[in-house]
Amino acid sequence: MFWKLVNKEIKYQLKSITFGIFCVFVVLFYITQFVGDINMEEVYSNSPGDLLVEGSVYYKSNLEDESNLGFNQRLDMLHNLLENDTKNKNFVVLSELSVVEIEELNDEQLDLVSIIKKQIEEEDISEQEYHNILQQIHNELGHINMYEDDKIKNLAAKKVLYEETLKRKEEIRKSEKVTGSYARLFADYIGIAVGFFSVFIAAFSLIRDRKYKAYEIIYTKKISSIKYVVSKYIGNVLLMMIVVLILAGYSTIDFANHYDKIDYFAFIKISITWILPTIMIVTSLAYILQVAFGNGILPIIVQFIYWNYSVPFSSSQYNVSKYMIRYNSVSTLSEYQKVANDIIFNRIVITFISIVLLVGAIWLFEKKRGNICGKN
Amino acid sequence: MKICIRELNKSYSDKQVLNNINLELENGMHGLLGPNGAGKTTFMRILTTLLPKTSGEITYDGIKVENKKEVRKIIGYLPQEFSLYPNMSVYETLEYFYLLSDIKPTKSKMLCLLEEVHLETCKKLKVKALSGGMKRRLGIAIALINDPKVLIVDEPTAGLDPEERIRFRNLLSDFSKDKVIILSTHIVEDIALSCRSLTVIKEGNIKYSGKVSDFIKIGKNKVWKLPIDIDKLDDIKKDYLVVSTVLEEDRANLKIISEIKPKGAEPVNPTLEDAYMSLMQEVDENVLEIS
Repeated sequence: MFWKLVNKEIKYQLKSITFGIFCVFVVLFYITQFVGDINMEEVYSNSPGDLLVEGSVYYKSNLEDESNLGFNQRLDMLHNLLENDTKNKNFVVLSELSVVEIEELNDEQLDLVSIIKKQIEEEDISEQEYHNILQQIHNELGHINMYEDDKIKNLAAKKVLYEETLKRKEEIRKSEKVTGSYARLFADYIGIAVGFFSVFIAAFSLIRDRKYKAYEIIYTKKISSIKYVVSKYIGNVLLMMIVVLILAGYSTIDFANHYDKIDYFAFIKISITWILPTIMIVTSLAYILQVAFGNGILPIIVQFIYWNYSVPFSSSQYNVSKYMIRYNSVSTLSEYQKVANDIIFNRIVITFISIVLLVGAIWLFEKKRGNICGKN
Repeated sequence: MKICIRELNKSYSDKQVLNNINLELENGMHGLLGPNGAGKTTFMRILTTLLPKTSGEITYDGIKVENKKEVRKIIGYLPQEFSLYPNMSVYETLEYFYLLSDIKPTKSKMLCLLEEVHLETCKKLKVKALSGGMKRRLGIAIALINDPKVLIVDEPTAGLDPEERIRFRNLLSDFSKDKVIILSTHIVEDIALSCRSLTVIKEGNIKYSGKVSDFIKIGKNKVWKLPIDIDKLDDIKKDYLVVSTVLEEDRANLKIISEIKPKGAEPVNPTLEDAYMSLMQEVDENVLEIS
């Protein structure tokens, strides 16, 4: 009978406009954010992605300051550049507006770059000589060319990035069969969406009895307050989780189509361990507030404030005061393991608080059920 | 089933809403009559576990009203103002309330109940499409789900057309054979036509409790028929409680309630409504005397 009540609640919500809006927003978030990120990073290809070669802001955050690049790395990059220009017999020129153009090397210029290339290959170059060489080529080629220390540093940094990214991709594939890392990114984006939009479903679940003036009939029925509130709670949470799990399932299939080896349960597992506690706390908070104040708007306002507090990244990201897990990066297992304990602790505490709030809501509901006027 | 109410009091901060109510109710239909704001709804809400009492005792065959779980098993309640989820069908609504009553909803049981309230042909209709009378009949069906020993209905006929009112009264009469039915109303006719006993409440105090037939006696020798010229109508209204006025050209036939026979008046057999008005007038006069 309890599950029939849960089923009734789910059916009721399925027909509501609120649920439709919830689905639209969560799916939009999924497409624009998660799918957008996957496309941008060329997850399904072996290359680290064009954007990364150009210097993805996202990956750059993992790289030390460019100025810390060693002299040898810069010298290597200078050699690469010389090799490239000698081979193609041209060089890159930047306009005042940083538009890239290609200019052909004349014979004199070609000789110079060939000689210097050979010199780097055969001799030990000191840092001072490196700067002199750069100055010499820069003057010879004219225009705004790439033969400047800052530009070399930048190119070297990109090269390191490129190589690092390839390495990370390989590690991601090996350690967690790709999906483990992307499941965390999925949980981050979906968590943001359900972390707020869930409140629209939960905020009116109990007080709609009052809205439809059905409460006096319902409250005099035999059903216990625990059964009544919990059946609605499970109905709400389950319905929202079904939406999340459908997206998790879709992502799993999508990855399975591109990789031989994936963890088929990665998205499902992360949905249950990371997103479920988020939905639970939002629902519990909405329940206790609506019962306490007899109002569905207040939980939405409170949730909006709490959401704004929890969304931005901060040094105390996994503090238990934040109810959703932000993990906006495709990390390796070893990187994740550095914060895994904090995240697990956060999820356990948030789940516990959700249950405590739910118990509070049931207690308050029972009190109000026996005193509908709220006066003594 | 026997409901015993002893020295029941209910107050909100400094306002006394129910004052020392003592009643014993047994199977059959009981009317609860009183003007708006008399405390009827508060009384019913206390009986149905929706409000706590301030003091006193209420028992249902020995079960105290504080034992909400047990009381909810044996009562059915149709409140004065109620609605249901508008997008659910009649059948779905009934099924939902079966679940809320912890009773397995079987098709045969539900159809039988819908037949009892003459809604079997409307089972697929959405609640929002029901008329006021149909909605109340559905409300009664919901109240009857657990086959309650006590059925409490608050102003069930307010706003219904005459045909629906008759249908509704008959429905309640049918159920009253083996149940205590408490019918709260301010429509005297409903009580006259369906109740065996009656309790009148005003300002939280019981003014009468007993048989309906005895209650009519309150109006004996207090109800008068008085034909007058139409230009004297205002003067008469100042001096007497006029309960009906029938105008005929330049004359008016009045029905008056008065302890003293007005000049030129003839006595009339009182109706339940006359008796009620007479009692209310008595109460008002007593209040005036006290003040």
